[in-house]
Amino acid sequence: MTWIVILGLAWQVDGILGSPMSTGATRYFCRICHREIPNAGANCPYCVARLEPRERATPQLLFGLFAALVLLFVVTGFLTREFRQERRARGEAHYLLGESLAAQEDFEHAIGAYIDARLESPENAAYRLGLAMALYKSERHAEAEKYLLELKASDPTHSIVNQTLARIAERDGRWEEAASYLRTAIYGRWPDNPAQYRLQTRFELVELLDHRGEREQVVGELLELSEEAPDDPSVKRRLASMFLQARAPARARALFDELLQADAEDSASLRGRGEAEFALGNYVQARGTFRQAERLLPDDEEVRERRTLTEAIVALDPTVRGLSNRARYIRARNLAEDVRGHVETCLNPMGEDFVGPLLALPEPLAEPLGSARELDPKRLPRRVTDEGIEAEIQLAEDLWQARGSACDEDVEAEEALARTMEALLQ
Amino acid sequence: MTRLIPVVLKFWEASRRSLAMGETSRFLLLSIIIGLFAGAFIVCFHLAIESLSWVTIHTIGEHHPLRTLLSPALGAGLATALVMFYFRTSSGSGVNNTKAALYVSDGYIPFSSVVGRFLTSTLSIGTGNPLGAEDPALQMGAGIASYLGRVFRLTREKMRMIAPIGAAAGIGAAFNTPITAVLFVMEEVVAAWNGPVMGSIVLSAVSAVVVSRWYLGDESLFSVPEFTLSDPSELGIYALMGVVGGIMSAYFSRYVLRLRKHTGRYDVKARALLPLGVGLLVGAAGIALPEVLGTGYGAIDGALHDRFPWQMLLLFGLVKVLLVSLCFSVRTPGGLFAPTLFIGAMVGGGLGAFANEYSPTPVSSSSAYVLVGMGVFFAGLFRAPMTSIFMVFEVSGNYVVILPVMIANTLSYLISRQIEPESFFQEVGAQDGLELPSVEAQREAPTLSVEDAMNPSRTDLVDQRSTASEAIALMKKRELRHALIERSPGRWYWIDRRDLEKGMENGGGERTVVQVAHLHSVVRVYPDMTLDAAMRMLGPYPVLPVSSRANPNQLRGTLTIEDVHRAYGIPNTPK
Repeated sequence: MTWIVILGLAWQVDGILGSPMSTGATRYFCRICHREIPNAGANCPYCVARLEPRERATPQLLFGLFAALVLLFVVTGFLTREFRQERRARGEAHYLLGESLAAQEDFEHAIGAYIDARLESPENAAYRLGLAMALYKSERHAEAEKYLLELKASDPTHSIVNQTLARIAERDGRWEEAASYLRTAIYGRWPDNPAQYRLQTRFELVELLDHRGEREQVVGELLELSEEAPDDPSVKRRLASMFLQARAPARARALFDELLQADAEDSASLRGRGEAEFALGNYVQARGTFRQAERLLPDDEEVRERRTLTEAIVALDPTVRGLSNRARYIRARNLAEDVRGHVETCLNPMGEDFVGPLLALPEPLAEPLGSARELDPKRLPRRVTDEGIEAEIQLAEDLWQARGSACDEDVEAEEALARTMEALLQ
Repeated sequence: MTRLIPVVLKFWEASRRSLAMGETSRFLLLSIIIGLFAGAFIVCFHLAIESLSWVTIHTIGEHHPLRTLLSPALGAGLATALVMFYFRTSSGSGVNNTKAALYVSDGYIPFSSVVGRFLTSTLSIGTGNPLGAEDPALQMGAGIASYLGRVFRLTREKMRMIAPIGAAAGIGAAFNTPITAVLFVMEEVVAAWNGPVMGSIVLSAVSAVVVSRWYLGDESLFSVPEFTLSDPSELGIYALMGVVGGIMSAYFSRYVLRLRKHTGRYDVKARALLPLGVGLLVGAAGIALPEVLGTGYGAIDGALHDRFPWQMLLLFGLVKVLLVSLCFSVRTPGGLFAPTLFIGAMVGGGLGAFANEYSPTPVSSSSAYVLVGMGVFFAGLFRAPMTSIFMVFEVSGNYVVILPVMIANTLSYLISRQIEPESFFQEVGAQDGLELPSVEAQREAPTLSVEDAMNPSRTDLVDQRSTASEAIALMKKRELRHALIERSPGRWYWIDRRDLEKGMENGGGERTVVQVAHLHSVVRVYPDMTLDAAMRMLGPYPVLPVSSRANPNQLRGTLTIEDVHRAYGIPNTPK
């Protein structure tokens, strides 16, 4: 029975492969056939096959072929493995050479080494990144961008890649793209110290938006920054300066106050706070702050100028607290006189008295200017009332508001006068 | 039990026969085996070339000028010496050797040529000579296939077809491009699109590529940065690129062949030393421009990433043209596939970068032009337009450029043909003493169809109602020995005049033709059938009805062997 099964299986396999059996095998099976299967006779296919000419491959041949194929695959596999190891080692050697050259800022040769590394291991992202950064640093932005975009395609949240792409886009004037890349970089994956890099990148984004005049977005980003920022005075100071730049002086002042609470002698924060107060129109406070700052920074010209300006503004302002009525009245009258002088300068830039009739002046200007001309700064009323002070202030305000009909836009009043009048008019 | 045994044996025999493979199936299985062997072999070939280049032209760190100068010369000299004195069968073009196996030597390619190609091409390309590995790979694949065919003792008919099957495996594994491999072999070597052959070629190419990707990875040959086509007006620039490529490839072909013919006349000593001299020139060029050494795939990658300005790209292209011309003409072992990609990429990229700088309209980045340019020179030189189109697609994995590629490559092909009508491979073969058929001529030879030969006037038709005597008179008048009868629409039979005459002799002159003659059934042909196919059907039938495909019952005409002779210009012998 066993032989029948064996014969049957052999015959099936033989049929599938198309009679690869050798003549000897066929003869052997034929003998088995006759021995084991009585009266096999013509029903024994092996006996029939013996009589047919052999046309096909032998089992030895097939076995040899299979063995040769396996051997070839094994050898190829071994060689390929060795090749890949060597290739990786070469790639790493080129890469390390590139890194050392880049550290020495020899970017041209570093690029060559990185290119060789990339050719050895095209799939290695670190090599491509090294190449891209070297290209970027050697100002070959178009080329760098191509590699960076490839890297971004394989790892969209790679923060360094996005950040560098943003910088390239910014230089090309592609602002929206740059902002998008920076946002991706902020929330992306940093290799190490993510908090610090995230912070820096946010600052970069804020500067970009500020450069574009996107004030609301800037303030929004700064608010997020202030929530995430560490308790670091330099960071807070920078934030506060950026709030100031974004014309959010109240927030800037709050941050500077925090800093000054921690260190009252912080000259930079004092200066910043002074600017914030100045921007808010709180000139008295600004004057005090600038005085403090000047004490700490006696050689700082800018601080001195700011202090001088705020003092001039405060000196002009008739509404400052602590003044007597007379002093307020004198200030108000002087203020009106200063405004009249500014308007007269607009009407007659050469400085001579205008000799035309009053009727030639624009309507809004005629009355206040006429009233201002009638004022004698040396003649003061015996009794100064609040109404009198108010009237002088009102005259100054009316004249200031009407000055547009006489003064061109590019003619500016003295800053102290202008700021005082703006503050009064608010 | 013993009574069951014959039944069981009969059952086993029946199932065995049903499972047994036919000749075609075995051939297809052999094609896969060829692909497996060729794939692994070509992988080893690739590793050998790369490894040799690591110690010659691609060392780590600083490159020694002397090594760069001498490596190509030594490699080319040694390789040429091996070809001339030990491996004579591995000389010449791989494509032509494969075609010779197909048309001349019944599929025989000695295995020594495989070993020879492996060694000599590794030496020449691995040391920096600016030639390609694909042509040697093609012949190695064909040689492996031929060897396996002999081992399996294939029939003569099958042996003839075995070499192209191996060739497809070789190219597929070398380029990692199965479609290109199949198309190139079908377009350039076989020039026929018949089913069984194509099936085998596809199987061998695919199995070779599977093996190649298993070992070497499945990344495409070049990583192409993302880009889009800027403006439809750019297509004009691509068309210009096709024109330039066509002109360049035509003149390259002409002058390389002339130079090769000239150097072929030198004596043995000179032919052995020439590659050394050219190798020194290659080395010298390589010191200044290392990008032109070897296959140049690294430089193409750089060009795709905007590494070089347009001046450098054009310089690379022109220097490579010069070096490749010299190397090929002095018969340094190696192929031209990779150099044509390089030259096309550099010239195309140069034009693109120039356009980027100076064009008033927006243009794509030069990567697009490098990619399109790759196929332009190939199409013009090798006259394989379809292969060149798909090749660009496969080596880059980028489909965006397919339209510009089609435009540029087709233009290059047409212009190159116009300037230089002779096929490059045919000329190379003629120089090597092989008169191979021109595949291009075969492809474009006009094919006659039944419509060109048939007789639309129905003079071979006899009315079934006519009497035998009338029919005989008509047939005599028209000098017909056989005629067609339409029994009903769409049912035709042919009759022999002798039957009618015999019938008349027996007094059947007034009976109808149908009653007297023996009606022989007949097959129909159609006007669009090739005359070659119809002629085979004329064997058993002296006259065939030509019916319309739109209305099979409608008789469009008749076809006889005399009609066929007339169409082919063969004079008919008088009846």
